[in-house]
Amino acid sequence: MGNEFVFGNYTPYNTIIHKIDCRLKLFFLVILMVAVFFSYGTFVTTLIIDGILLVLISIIMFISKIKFITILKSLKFIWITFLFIFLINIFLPNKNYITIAFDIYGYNIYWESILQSFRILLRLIMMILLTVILTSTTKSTDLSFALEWYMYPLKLIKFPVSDFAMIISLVLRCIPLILNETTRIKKAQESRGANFTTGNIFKRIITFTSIIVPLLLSAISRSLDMADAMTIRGFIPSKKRTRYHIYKFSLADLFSFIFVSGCCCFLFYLAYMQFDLLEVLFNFTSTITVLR
Amino acid sequence: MAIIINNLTHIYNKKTDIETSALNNISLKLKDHFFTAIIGKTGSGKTTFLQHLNGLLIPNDGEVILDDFKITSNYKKSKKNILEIRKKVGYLFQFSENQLFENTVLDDVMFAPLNFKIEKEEAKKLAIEALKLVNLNETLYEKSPLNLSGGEKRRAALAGILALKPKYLLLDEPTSGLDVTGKNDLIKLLKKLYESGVSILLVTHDMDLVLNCCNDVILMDKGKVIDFNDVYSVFKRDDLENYGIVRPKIFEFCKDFEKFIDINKVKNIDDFIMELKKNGK
Amino acid sequence: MKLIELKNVSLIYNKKDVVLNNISFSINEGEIISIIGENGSGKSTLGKLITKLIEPTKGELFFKNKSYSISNEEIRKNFGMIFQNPDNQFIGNTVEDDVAFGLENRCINPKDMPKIIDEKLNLVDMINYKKYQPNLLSGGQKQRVAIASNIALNLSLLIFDEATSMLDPKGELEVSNIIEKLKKADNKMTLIIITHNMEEVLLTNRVLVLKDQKISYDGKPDDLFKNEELLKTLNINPPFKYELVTKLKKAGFAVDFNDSLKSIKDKIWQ
Repeated sequence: MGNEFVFGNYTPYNTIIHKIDCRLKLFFLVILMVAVFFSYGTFVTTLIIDGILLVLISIIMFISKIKFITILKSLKFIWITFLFIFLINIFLPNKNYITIAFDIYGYNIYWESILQSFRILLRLIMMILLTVILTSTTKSTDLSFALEWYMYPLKLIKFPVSDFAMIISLVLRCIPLILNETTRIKKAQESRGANFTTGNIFKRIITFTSIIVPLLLSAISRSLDMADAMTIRGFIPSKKRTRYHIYKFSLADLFSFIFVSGCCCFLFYLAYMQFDLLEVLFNFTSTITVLR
Repeated sequence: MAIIINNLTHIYNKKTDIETSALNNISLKLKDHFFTAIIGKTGSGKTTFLQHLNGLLIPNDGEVILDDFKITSNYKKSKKNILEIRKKVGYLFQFSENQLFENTVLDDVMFAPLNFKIEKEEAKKLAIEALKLVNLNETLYEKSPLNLSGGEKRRAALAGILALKPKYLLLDEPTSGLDVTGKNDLIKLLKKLYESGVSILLVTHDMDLVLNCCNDVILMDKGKVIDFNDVYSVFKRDDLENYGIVRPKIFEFCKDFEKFIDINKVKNIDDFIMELKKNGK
Repeated sequence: MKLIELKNVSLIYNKKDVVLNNISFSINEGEIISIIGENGSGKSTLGKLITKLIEPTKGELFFKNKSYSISNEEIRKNFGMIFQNPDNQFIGNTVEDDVAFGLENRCINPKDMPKIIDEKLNLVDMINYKKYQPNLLSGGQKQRVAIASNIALNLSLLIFDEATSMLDPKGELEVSNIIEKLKKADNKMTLIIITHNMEEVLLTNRVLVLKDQKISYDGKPDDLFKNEELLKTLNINPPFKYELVTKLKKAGFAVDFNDSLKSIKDKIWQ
């Protein structure tokens, strides 16, 4: 059978990144994403910092043995979205932009907007990469445990936290199965002459129901089966359970915590001060020259 | 006019860390009118091979020649003639009952002809013809496919393919999950189709089915064709166990009588006893 | 001693679709029985009724002479079930997690879990795959994990609901080997094997045939398979040896059902 690669699926390597506690990893994901989304003053500063972040992310990816090309290949359907976002941002008018780059039949395109869209794209890519790092180095059960851990306070207001975490872990478990099923049904309908790429809207809706209906039916029967299998093994929603995996913080966790939070604090500081890095660098070199 | 495969190679997820070679340089030629089985372990590339024969998969290397069509590595699925290929080569998936989606059985069987731009009246005619061919009761035509039994669903799905009157029929595990009645009905139907001129290529683990129906066998292992010969020669191989194949019990049993009876005529127990009587005493 | 008893159990959907009609039988402790019948004869439903995944419309079920219902957690703890589709019963992320899932539900102390998990995975020969994820396992391997996950819970009754029908021959063999192993185990677990593979019926000592929503046969597999007329009315294809002997006998050969395949061959030579 053709095991279609599922993007962001857990890869069972034994790297440091895999070993870091799942709760910490989730925390890192959040603060790194915040760092990615901050504005650091001028365009140039922001781009420099984005570059640094990108290098950092690539290093983490290298350590956790995620191949860049694998991600690129599995992202092939998202490129269209990227292009769309890029173009929208370029053509979106903004009064603050002044430096004209092109003049297309009276419609001005500004350097600022090009830079801005480039940055948005970069942010998006980094966000995706960060998420891929998390999901491909963390098992879904661990991930749902981490979520449950952070949602613990919600238990006070009687929110069914553990059920919610179980649902998430089951959904993550089922995604590859459903994707496989989708390819299978799509191929089956294709061999009945269904065409998913051309034809008018009305026709295409009909062809898509030929995938959606069987997929829904199989998803329903699958979930009923799973519910039975869980019931038979004594699962009762909201009932107290013990936990097989015991999560303990290790030395690696400590170091990674110091490293990542240190980096992020530095970045937050930069974002707070809104430095113009070029100017800072310029001042720095000139001070040195003066000192000489 | 035949199916010719030259140096067919297929690799899944090329250039990623989970790259797997599924088919490795396969060349063979299927004769004009055939009833052939592909056997081998799970993961030996049987299904991948089958999916190349109606353009569901495009080879990474090599070519597939179907009568006057040719599929090579630079063939695009969007090409117009893919529809003609699929009309000529029907493909029934494993657990094909899952692909039924319309409100009624008749509508579902009409789905394929309508996709091939056949007029509605004509499509209906074709659909009814196909449903009659698979021996589905007329009272079921207007029922929802969900209300059919397992065997009936399977036959309805097959009718959905046969409505196009394919010249070649590809089947992936057609008997899996069926009970005795369902299986026997299907076997009868396949034999009838073969006699009416349809060429059949099926992937299966059911060796009784192979012995009972097929003329030739393609034995696959690790993406390669190990043997392509008539059923009896393949089952006589000594190394069959290495490829995960268990011979049909009747074949295993009458092998010892090889010198005494004509083993090539034994398809089931009745044949065996007939041969015994003919040659005995 | 009676482990399970069904008294006049019926199941009717939507007030008109009769799935099971007034069924009564009992299963003794340690018995190995099989249930066969055509697709849609209600054999899987019967399994789900016994484990109380569904409630009957009429009638009562007893476990060790005690009536039980869907809410009787203490009694239901004794039941396990292996389902048809290997993918749909793999709950955990890895093999060991899947076995642990049931133990977690039973609130077993995490310190005791590794020992139980190793022991049960050893039993089904999956110990080397402890850290594997389901997408790397074959169907037969997944079913073996499901068996380990179930028997880790100290069951007195395990039901195989067409557990081999989606497997390849290798997987089928793997699962039936485990069944053989369970038969020989000391704790005498009661096994119910719901199947349409007649060779699997030969693993059991008693067979129930479901036809037309009722039990049409209850007895030894051997007696069933020897009785040609009964087989015809029940629409059953006997296992290879029985079919062979029946047909040879008809053709005038002096063979017997108790003969091994080899002695049948010898007799034909004569």
